[in-house]
Amino acid sequence: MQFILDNIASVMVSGAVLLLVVATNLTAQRAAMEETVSYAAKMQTLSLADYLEDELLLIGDGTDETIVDLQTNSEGQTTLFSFWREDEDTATDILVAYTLTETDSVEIDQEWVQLYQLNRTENGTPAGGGSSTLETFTITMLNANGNVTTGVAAARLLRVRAVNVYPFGDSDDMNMFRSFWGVTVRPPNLES
Amino acid sequence: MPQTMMAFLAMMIAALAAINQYTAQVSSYEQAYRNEFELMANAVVLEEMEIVDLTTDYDDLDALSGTESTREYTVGSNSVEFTLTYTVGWVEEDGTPSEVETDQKEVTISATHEKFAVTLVAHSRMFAD
Repeated sequence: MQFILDNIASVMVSGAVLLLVVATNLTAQRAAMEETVSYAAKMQTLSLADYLEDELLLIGDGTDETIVDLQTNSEGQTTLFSFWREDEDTATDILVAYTLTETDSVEIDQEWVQLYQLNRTENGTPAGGGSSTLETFTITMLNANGNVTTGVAAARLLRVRAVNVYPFGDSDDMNMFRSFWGVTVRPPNLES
Repeated sequence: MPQTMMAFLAMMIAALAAINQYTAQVSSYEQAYRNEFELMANAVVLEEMEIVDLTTDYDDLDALSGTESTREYTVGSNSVEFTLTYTVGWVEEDGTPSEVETDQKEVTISATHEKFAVTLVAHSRMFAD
């Protein structure tokens, strides 16, 4: 009898230990995956941010014109932002346009979220772009008091906000799904 | 009896490993969460610094020192509110603080949020007379 009880107890203990070890490993793997996805999304966001910030400061650089158009959709997203600047290589004026187009939809927390891709053109020719997993992208013109304005003549600052959705992974298994970014730049040529 | 002790030890070790893992995971999430707040706070502080630069006369900068305001990072219908604290002081041309009046002032804006006990982001800019 004692022998049977010992065996039962040992099977129970080893089973519990095994379950604990397996669960810990699975959790560690999931956490590592989520960290990697988070890092990838953050890098994607910051890479876009760096480029955008540098270019917005060049609005009107070497040209007589600055911002041409700023359009938003019903969701408040900036669907078109175009401006003149000088091409540093050819010293010619180029019309740069950032456009936002719809891509996929993903389910996050039982809600469907529309994603967008940011495209960039120079004189109408595709010339780069950004993430295709943007949930939010807005450019807002602010006047000298920091208030929102729709007039280019009054604009002194450009406020940019972006939210990038994590491009991989299953939202059911993750705790964070989005990467936030924002900046406000003061293009020197908006003041002249 | 020795078997029981060994089994107990095995369970203890496995449990400790699991606790360590969960603690590290929670810490990692907290860090990622804080990183997001830092980026949002960064956007808010940079904007406020530009507005101060545009709207505040050099002689009036001192009045900002020690004051606080709240600013929001807004995306769609969601917003996160940060408390901004302003510090203004005289600095030398190389940026070192000065006890006496100079031709430059350094404005520092730091952002805090109620969820975090420490300053999330602080930016400084020198203003010349």
